[in-house]
Amino acid sequence: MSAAAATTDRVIGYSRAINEALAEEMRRDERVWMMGQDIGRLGGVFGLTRGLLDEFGPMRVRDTAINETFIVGGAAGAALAGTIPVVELQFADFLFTAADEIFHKLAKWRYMHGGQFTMPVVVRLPTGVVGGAGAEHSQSLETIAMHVAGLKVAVPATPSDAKGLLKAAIRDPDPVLFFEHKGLYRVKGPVPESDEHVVPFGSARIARPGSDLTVVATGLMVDRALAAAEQLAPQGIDVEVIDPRTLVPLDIDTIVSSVERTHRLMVVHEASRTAGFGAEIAAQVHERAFFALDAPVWRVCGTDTPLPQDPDLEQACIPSTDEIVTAALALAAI
Amino acid sequence: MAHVLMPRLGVSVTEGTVSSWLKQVGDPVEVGEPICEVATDKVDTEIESTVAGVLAEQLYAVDEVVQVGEPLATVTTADESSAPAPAEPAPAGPAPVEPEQPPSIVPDPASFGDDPEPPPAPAVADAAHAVLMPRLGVSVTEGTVSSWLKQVGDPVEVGEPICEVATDKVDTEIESTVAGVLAEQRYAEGEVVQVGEPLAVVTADGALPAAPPAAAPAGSRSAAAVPTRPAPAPAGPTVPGQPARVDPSRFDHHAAVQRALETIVRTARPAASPAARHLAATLGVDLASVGGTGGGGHVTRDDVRRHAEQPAPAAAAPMPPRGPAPVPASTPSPEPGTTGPDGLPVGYEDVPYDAVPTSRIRRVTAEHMSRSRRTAAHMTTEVDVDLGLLTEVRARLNTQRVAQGRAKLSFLPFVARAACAALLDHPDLNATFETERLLRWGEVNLGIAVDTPRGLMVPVLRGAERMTVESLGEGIADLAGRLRDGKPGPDDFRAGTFTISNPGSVGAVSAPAIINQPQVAILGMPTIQRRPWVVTMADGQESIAIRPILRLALTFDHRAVDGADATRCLVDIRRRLEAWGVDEYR
Repeated sequence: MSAAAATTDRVIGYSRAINEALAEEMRRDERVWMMGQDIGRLGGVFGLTRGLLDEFGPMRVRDTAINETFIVGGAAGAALAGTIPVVELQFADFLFTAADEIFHKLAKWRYMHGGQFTMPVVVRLPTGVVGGAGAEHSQSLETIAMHVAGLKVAVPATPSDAKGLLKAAIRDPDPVLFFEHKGLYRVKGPVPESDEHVVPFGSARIARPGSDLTVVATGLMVDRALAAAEQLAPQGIDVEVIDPRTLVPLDIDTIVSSVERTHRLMVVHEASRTAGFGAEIAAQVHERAFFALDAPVWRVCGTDTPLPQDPDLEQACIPSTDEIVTAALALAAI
Repeated sequence: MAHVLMPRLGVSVTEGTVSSWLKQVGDPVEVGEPICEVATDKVDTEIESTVAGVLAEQLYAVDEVVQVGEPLATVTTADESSAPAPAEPAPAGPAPVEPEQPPSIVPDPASFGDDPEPPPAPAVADAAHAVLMPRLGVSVTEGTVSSWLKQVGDPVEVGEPICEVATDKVDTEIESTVAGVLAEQRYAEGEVVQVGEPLAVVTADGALPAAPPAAAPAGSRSAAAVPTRPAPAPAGPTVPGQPARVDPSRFDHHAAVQRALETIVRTARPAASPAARHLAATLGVDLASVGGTGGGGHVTRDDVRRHAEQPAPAAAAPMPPRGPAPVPASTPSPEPGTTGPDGLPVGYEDVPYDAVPTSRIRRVTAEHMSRSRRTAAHMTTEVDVDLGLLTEVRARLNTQRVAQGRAKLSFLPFVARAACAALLDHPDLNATFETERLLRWGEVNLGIAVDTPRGLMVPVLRGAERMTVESLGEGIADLAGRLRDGKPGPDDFRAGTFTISNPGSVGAVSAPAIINQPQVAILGMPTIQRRPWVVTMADGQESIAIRPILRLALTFDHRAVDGADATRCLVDIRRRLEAWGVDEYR
């Protein structure tokens, strides 16, 4: 679907890419509309929706009160009424405030009601550490979303994927939790200019080919894994970096076929170590490719702590490039 | 918060070593309940808590040395408002080994509050200054002050003796539980003091508190120097617990890898990565014979590959077979003293001949055979096995294998599979006999007699009792192939525990054999013959049918086992071969 990728070398930011996806999809389909706290006149707490109120008007770009329960619950109702709501929570952490709406109404209603309707809602969730936002504004909760059946989970790591996955999310008939990494909002990268740059869900991206060790990483961790790979190359470890791009559906085939070549796997995630998606991927790879493995599947993860507010301490609680290098070298001893 | 102090455990004892903690952080503790064990050069004893509450901190690790009078542990009272005053002596339970001084407590200096309110009960404030008469034994309720060692105005440290007290059981020194200056001796020498009563008052500057102990609240206490009791805890839980799974430490990748590698030594199974294990199975390499070069000595894919590609040992020094298999017992060896002058046997001088030098392998074989024959009491038992069912099973399995592009299996791996299974039930035949003892081996390392261009060799399939018929077949084929190509590995001949010889492959109709030392038994497999056989029909009638019959021969060392033992094992092999379906062989 990204055939247009070759048409241009245009470089834009991750935020801009998301804004473009929203605008293009609202132009393409008048059923698409948006709702969220301060997304209209303010343009969103992180500025992602700037200019959209002007183009699409207050009926399609609606400011709400500070009420996540209402935002997602309203979207669920609007989806039933035949529209395609794209809602923004200011921080992914607030999905707990809208937990019943997300994990019950969005995730289950299609199935509880015999498939009479779908729930085409996109919940945009600014996620991850951003520099001192504290324990209730910095979490990586994608695993929780992954655990509850009925939801799709996108975790874009590049501007191109942010745009392409968001467009796919809006076109998807099922509810999508769209985890935009706050630490990537200012990152720039090439993004195809095409209106039809849609990245299909469930297709992992090999961010760097390699032959000795597969590293699966998402979001902010992709760039750190790539930087670690550059440090490891001169030490004789040729790292393949895979960005799954969506966790539900998960492109386990690409991961398994990589492991069958490299015989080693590390999963890097910002979320806490215990019961993170690294554990799920490790289990699936053990089930699918046990006899390809030279070593246990390894995890490099965030600490099992509430995240501190001090930016330095906060960084100490999530994997660094150095830690990925250290882990890869340690694993080489097996 | 209060401390449990290291008590004085003897007059000359100044320190002890914590040998174990009996209570962990978070455990509730009662007064008199042992919290840890301490060893001194005199005694080993349990230290009892002097305060009730929840153990908040172990201040010394096991094997650390703690000085007498130093705090050992911190205990948080479960309900501070109703807890006994911290300095009140614990009504200590049965005193352990000669406690000249029971453990005492002082309030935790770290818990100074800026609480301006006096504590609720007068005794509480005073207790901070009072040195109480400790309980010196279970039945001791009072003592007599025999002499004062500290006078008013003397500085005293925690743990420093201030007076001597005589009871009907012991005479002992009473140590101060408060640091400061002795402000008051509450009893004169010769006076009787009840357990729990204040013996002395110690304050920061030696001045008595405005109100005497056990009287009014100590409003004028000099809080800076004198430990005071913390204010009653506000409403809410006061029992500290461990936070729920919060671990701020970075994951230690090196330590975790080390831990993973350490598990290798704890298992007897050859350690190999899953990928190496898979490759070994594919190449038919016996993992146990591969030297591992991976972390912790585990076998890697490269190790397996190297092992599979290992060149043959030098032709001049082939690995001596541990006990080459069956040759006819009648093989003559020239007897010394019977040779003529030119080295020929006497009486053969006029017979034309060719002198062929024997190979090293021939000589080794000769030595092994004759030694085995000399040592073991050879005896052979035989049974006829109807292979009708096995013929069908094998055909079915081979059809599948051919469809998968794999080689057909001969009868040998099926017999080997049944034999390995039977040996698990008859461990005396998978053994080594040493007169004084029989070593029953914990795995079946199956020797397979292989006829090679250089002579008879008996390579060993390690751990054959764990193999399916297919891995046995592939393992045998692989070993035989490597031998014929002259590429056996040094471990290929080691540690056999039972051997199968297959003279049937060249047409033998019976197969007694010579035991492969130091084993107890060898199974001989002659050729399968189609013979007229009495069979029972479905209707119960007997009839003669043509059946494929294998006359298995089990040659055993009668020193190690008796004929009945060996025959039972052989009959067990037959039973399996006549009853097993495809699944049982796997």
